[in-house]
Amino acid sequence: MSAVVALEGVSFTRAGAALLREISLTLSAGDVVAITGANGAGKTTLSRLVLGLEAPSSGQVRRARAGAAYVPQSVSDGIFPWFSVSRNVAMALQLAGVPDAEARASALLAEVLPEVSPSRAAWALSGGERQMVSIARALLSPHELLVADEPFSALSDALRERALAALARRRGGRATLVVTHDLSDAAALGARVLRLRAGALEPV
Amino acid sequence: MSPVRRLVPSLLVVAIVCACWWGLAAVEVGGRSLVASPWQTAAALPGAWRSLGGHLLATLGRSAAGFLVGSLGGVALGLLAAGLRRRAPVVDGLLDFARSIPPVVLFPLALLAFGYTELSRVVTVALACAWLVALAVTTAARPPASARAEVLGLAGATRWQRLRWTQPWEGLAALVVGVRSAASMAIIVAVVTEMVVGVAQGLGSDVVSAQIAGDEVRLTLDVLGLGLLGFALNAGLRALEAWASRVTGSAPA
Repeated sequence: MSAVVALEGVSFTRAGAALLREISLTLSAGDVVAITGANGAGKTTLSRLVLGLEAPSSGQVRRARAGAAYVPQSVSDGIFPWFSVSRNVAMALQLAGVPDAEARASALLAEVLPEVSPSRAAWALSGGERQMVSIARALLSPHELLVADEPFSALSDALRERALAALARRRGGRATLVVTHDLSDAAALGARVLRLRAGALEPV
Repeated sequence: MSPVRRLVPSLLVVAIVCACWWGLAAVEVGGRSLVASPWQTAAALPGAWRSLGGHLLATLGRSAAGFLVGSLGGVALGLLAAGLRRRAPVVDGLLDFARSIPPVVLFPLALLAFGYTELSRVVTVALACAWLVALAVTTAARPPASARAEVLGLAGATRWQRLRWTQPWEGLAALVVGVRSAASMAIIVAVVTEMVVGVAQGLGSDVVSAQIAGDEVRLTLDVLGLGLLGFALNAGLRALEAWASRVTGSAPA
């Protein structure tokens, strides 16, 4: 199967300190990889390298196509509070020129966040609901790469279950990278788990 | 707690303020009261409201004209500064320097340029507002929160779409703060410019006339009128600021 993204001998140095060393990782269509590790281990940096948001200090990141679905770590900056909930979720589809984007967003919202009206202003959402909107937007994205950085951190148990179920059901043939502290989340997604320790990836 | 009991502390504070006002009115300096008592003020209001309203409207008109002209200039200046900032970091320092000049010292310059005219007063108010609005615009024009820009960029948004969907909203709170500061400054500067000869209408002019005539009732009414004007303006703009903070996500829902 062809690689959606491939990291080849990637190292990353910040302020003179090596954060990631000689990392090689390939994500193909349908792959689900969970990255775990201690705080400050470099999980977010690794996910940003995969997305092309950071450039490696050495090594190469090859991506088959530009663009990705992204659930950022920040709950508050991950959504657009001035738009409606459905517009937030439909955003990636709208940008791809899909005509019934908002209707599809509303259908997904009925599944993952039925207690929130799609027409509601996103600024009125709680932190957990905001994170769920961010996840829903990524799920509806047409891109073949999905990267989620601690996507369940602000979710209640009930929302977390719904999010995990939706991710498992709707990720399709996408290459998915999830950064998480919780191994049970990784197990629920059926992910291959890799731990980031001392700048290197090791299987769990 | 019952609504009546909840009201008690507020009523107490109002009663204390009134008592202080009464006490101040009882103080005589050189055989004359400093301010009129609450009763004297209330009794004079029915006969004075028309004249007070005229002065208030004149001050408001000057403040609004200066504010509008200053805001338009400030927006243009702010956009120019925001565009230049990356290549010439000195722009930020220059704006800060200009803002640090107390705006009322520009009034003599305006008098030199335009004489004792309405234009001098409006120009001074406009200059006072322009820097505040310009600074707010440069703050509002800063790049949007990286996570949103990244989400949009990865989703395939063009540069124009990224700008349109983030910048006006992310800058809204800073703009409203700038507008609120500029509006408050406009009233202060307008009143100060009215205190100089050459103006018949305006609260600043009436305060000076009342002081010369030794009319402490009129003086008290003018001060209260100014307080009410500032209070109403601030309350309205505070509500706008709270809305902007909520909508842009800088305040919890």
